[in-house]
Amino acid sequence: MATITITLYQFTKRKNSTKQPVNIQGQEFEGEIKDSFTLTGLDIKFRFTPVSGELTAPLFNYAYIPSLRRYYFISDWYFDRGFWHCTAAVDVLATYKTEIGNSSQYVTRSYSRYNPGIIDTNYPTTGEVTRNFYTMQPSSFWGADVTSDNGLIVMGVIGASSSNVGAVTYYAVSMPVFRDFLNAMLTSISWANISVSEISEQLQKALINPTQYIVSCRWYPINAASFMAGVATTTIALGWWNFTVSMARMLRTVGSAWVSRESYLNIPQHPQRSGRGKYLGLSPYSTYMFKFLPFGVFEIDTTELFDKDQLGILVDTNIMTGDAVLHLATKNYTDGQFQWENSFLTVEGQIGVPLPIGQVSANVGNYQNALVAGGIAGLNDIVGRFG
Amino acid sequence: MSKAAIAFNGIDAAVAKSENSLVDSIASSIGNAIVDGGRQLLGGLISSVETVMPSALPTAAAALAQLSYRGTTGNFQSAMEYITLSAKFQHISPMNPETQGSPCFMRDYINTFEGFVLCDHPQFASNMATSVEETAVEAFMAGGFYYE
Repeated sequence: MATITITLYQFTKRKNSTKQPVNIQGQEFEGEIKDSFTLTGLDIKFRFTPVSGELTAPLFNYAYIPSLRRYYFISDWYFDRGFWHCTAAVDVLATYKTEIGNSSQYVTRSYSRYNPGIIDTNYPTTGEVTRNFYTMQPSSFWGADVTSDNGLIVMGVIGASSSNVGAVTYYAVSMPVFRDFLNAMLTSISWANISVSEISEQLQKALINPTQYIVSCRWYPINAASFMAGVATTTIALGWWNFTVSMARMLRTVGSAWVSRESYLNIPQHPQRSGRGKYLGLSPYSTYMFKFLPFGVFEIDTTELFDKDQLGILVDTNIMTGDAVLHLATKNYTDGQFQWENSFLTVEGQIGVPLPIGQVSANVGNYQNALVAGGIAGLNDIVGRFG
Repeated sequence: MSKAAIAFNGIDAAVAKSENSLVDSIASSIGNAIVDGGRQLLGGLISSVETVMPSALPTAAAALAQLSYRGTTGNFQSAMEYITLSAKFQHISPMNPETQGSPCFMRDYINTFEGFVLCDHPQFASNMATSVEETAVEAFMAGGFYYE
């Protein structure tokens, strides 16, 4: 038997832990170790002095043997021939804590450092489903809505104008102005400046319908009061005539007919996302649907929304034709502007709501046939009278 | 005669026919009686045209200018629909990162971590450890251990 100094501890730690006891927690004892032992496992004999002569079990469960430079778990105590013996097994994690800490390893999972964007397959999904949404009134985006009178009418008119696009000049007017314009055109024909001695008023109305010079007419949910593109005018040149209106915007160029609207929606977040669950914003844990008519309803790639706070919406509209392009981009609250050049979705659509346009038209072929038929009937009648 | 031809320029054939009949009648020297008859014939012709035209013109007028529409009223419904971003979230069982950690997938020194650590293909060597002990340490690293 060899005598050895041992520090015994009452020490608790988790399994597979590198934790070491604090020195002041231990008590130093002299023990006897068998002549034959291994570093990883050994038995030690102690000469404890019984308290009040009563045999009591030792409370120590951990040991450090300085001469062996190792920590040991005391796995068992046994009493033999008046002495307590412990069975000890080396604690390699505590013993080599420093060396372990200084080693560089590829860590796949960790409590303290982790990548929240990597999907954690350790946790299965449950049947519980939560839905959430953010929404915006169309009038909030566009500035006007169907139920009010504040929309914008854009008319393509054929008429004398030095600022037309092709053969058509486009005028943007409010709904009340549009109604006044129609009333002016269709209530009286006096604007045609044709004497009733030349053509009766009724015949003028039958022959001249000013709406035939309106080649397009579309309604937009754009607030007319705030629409400042183009050039302000009070005259609409229609066909051979001019009509005076209270206010219109004449769109001189294609560039002046582009209207952009931009806004954003907050992105709903997975309720278990906080902390290390950011990956829950990805499919299959999250699915996102974006509805913006008339562009459509889209399922959005969750990687585009991952770890983002806001979904940016930009619509560029050519109000001459009603053609519009929708752009979607994302950013965080703390970011600056949306980077529209990095839009992840671009979709075309028709924003303008076409309005029907009435016009007087004649089918020349039918006219000719009817006239011939009428003439033949007349001739037959005449011939019959002379027959 | 010429007045009638101008007035009813569209039906010259009928006028020419009556004119030819008058020439034939004169040539046959039947006399003024025939001329009077031609005058009556012309009068009848004018009367017939005046009677017939009202019934012919409406037929043509029916095919004259008609009000027609271009396009149809567009769909205002799109402008009324809310712009919506909706989401459906599937829940997972409660997480237990204290004993399972979370995905890390990075190489670094172990002493930069705390708590649970799981290593991929760990390699441990120490000039103070036996090979048995080194193997034991690697097994702990591969199975997950607590660095604390």
